[in-house]
Amino acid sequence: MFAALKIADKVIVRTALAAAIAMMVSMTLISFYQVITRFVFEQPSTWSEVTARAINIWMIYLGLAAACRTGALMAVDTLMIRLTGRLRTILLVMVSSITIGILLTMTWYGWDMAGRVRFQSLAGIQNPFDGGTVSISWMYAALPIGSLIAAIAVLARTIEEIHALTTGSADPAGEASALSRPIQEV
Amino acid sequence: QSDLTIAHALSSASHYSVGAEAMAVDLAERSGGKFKLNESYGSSLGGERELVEGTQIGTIDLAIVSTGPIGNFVPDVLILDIPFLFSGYEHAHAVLDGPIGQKLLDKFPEHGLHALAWAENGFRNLTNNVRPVAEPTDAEGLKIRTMENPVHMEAFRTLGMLPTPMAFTELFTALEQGTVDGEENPIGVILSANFADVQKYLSLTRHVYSPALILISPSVWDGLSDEEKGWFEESAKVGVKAMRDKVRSDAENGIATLKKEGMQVTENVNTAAFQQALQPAFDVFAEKFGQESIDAIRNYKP
Amino acid sequence: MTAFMLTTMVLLFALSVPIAIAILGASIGGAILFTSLNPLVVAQRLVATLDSFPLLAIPFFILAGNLMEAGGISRRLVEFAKSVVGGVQGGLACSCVLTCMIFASVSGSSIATTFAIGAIIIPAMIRHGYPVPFAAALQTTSAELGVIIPPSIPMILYGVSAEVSIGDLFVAGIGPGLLIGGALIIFVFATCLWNGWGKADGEGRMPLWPSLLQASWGLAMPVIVLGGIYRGIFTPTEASVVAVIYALFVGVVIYRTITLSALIGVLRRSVISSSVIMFIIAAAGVFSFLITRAGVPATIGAWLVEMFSGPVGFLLAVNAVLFLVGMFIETSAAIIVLAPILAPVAAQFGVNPVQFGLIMIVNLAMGMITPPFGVNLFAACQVAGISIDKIIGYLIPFVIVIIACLAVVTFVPEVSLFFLNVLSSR
Ligand code: NA
Ligand code: NA
Repeated sequence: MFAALKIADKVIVRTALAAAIAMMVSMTLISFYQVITRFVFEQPSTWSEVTARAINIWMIYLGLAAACRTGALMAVDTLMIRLTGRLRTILLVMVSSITIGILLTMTWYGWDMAGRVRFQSLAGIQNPFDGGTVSISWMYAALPIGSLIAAIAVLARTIEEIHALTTGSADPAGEASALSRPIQEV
Repeated sequence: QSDLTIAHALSSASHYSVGAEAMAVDLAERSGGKFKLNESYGSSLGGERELVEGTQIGTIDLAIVSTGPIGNFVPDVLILDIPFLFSGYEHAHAVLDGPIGQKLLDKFPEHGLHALAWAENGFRNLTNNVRPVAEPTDAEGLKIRTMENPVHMEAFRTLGMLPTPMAFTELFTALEQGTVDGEENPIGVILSANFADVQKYLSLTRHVYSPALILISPSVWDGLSDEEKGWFEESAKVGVKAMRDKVRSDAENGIATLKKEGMQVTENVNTAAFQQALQPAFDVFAEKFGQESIDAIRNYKP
Repeated sequence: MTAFMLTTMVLLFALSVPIAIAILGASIGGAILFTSLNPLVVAQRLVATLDSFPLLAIPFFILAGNLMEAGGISRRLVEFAKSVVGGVQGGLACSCVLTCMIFASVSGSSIATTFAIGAIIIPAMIRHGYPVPFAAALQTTSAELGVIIPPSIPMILYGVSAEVSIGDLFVAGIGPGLLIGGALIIFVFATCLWNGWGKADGEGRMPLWPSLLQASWGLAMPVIVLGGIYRGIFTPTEASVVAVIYALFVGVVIYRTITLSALIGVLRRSVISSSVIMFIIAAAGVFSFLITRAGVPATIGAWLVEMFSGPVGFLLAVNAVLFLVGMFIETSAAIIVLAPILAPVAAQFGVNPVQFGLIMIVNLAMGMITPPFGVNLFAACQVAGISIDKIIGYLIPFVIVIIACLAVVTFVPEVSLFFLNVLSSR
């Protein structure tokens, strides 16, 4: 069970981050192409905007998994910082359970929604292979897939944090998560 | 007693709002107070695409939307976006309220939607900042903001214009700063969005008739008795009538107001030349929608 | 339903549940327990809220800010600001404000500004003998300018939520940005004189011309990005992409400091930051839909119109409420939920929607520096290596300065509208 989680954590979460990075690069290039086509070539591109929007949604939900793995989600953690030992472990488990519960709910409804809208096509874009339409499900699918991976990431991080708390080794969340957690620039 | 939401993306002073109010009043009366419609305007429950999707999944009870996003749900509707398809308001109303319009409405349930009636945005006209447009050659090379509609974009490209999809909220600034040269909309929209402040030339091209729709969520519709369904259909017609009257008066008074606000209006547009220039696009549309279907609309006599 | 949602959200906040998850938890609970809506609406809003071209500017401005830091643009801007301010007493502290103003004219976010500038200037201030908590409080507050001086992520959100032109909001931000920047410089200068800090600030700074020369690539950035928007070359979103490409070009080709591995690190951080902020925006989109569907905005709007007879009382009340909201709630979420409620009421009281946007943004930006939840505060304390409790005493005077500026922005519309009028009357 733990071994499976470890592999899932290593392989899936990392792949999600790599894919999200690739998406950020491609949406940058596509949007830049849009500026060039309109301003330099005077031939405005009509497919680039909708494509960049869809890629952005994928980047966000795949990136969410990486954010959960590094504990980057912002929180008002005044209470968490003040607790130590067993109480902190209990609160940590509670917060993680709620988070995983919400992420799985998102996966569930997200999957249902992606199925429900499969006959709706994305506006302003054609399938490059057959010239037909592209289903909007491709955009909606980002939500269930990203949320599911994020749930795995939260689980992996929680186990790591509990392990650190109970063995008393260096706390991965830092002595006070508000201070040492990698909020990074937002 | 049952409260239902009717949502749209325009302002509370728009023709959509006039239509929604008229429908609400009529429905309350017709149903003896059983059905109350609460209007939600200004995209506060989402943009047009989301509103259509919302009626599909049952989170929006009723919606008034342009046909802009409908083509992605019910592709048959795109045929109405062909330029110069309708000769005037009477022609458009006759087609949509007659058997052809009904046949299109009947397609909606296959796509998880239900439409009560055809409503209206009116004929679209071209504005720009470069030169007055009377002939197709005048339009060549203009950067024009369009909706994300494949039929419109094909037509503009054929005329040598540069269609640029852009969010409506960014349009005013884009026109002011010259990011795009122009846009095209019904007179009522040009007026209410204050485009006269940032656009010099208005050409009454009337190039596309833009219908709208009153949608009802299938989850609401399926729960109604036959008598109640009749009430909704009749009240929708009352709403449509109010909306069309408002569009008509906006178009008539609007042009005078826009002139007063300093726009140079080109009234005599060479429509025949535009239609001729659009021939390659018409050929594409004929292949896509079928020449008979297009002719059936063009030549429709009630 | 609204009471349930608010209570649940606050309870979850207090338990240290991440902001976005707390907002979603309250929304999902509210939708299922109190409405007959199909819960699929949660999935619809989580995707549809983000399906907007203007919002794409957020990840791009985050990426541009990170590239500027990694490429050495930020460091050169700090050097330049130090040289401009010169060797006067307290000059280093003043140059912190000035650098934040310059950096803010390219970055759309306050936290990006805190990390990019704070990492360089806080250690320098400590070396020059400034108290650590003062340096942190100064950095926290100055970085607020990141969202007031254009470009600005909260302005993009306000523009999208209240349907106001983002370009106009950007122009309107210049006046309040200069006002707050100026007020901070005066206040900081006076504080340093009073306390006898920063007497040796002139040491180790570069001469003006060389520092200007080496910072010129960075200084050209706002000209390209903002100039491009106002000259109609591109929309704000496209401008954010141009900023990314430009920062990459300078970092890789001109300064040659960005290696491939550094670039991957920048991308990784940018992806994570973008996801964190955009997920909050999506969650707020769900919350906002539910309360709108329940008619809450209309009720609050009608109540406000009835309650206040004129704009003065309304604006005072709104500012008080926003200050409280800003203490506890993340800025983006607050704007998405509140802008559609408040902006139409403000318009009814005759307040220009662009100016009202600036009032909301200046006020909520203050929320980024007020405890208990203040993202700038977290970031600056992290950079300075001190705990939040220690800097509060130093922070209070700064908050008072910002409140004074907010009062000016609220009651003198020209501060926001002057540049807009100049530009549109060309
Ligand atoms: Na900024
Ligand atoms: Na705060």
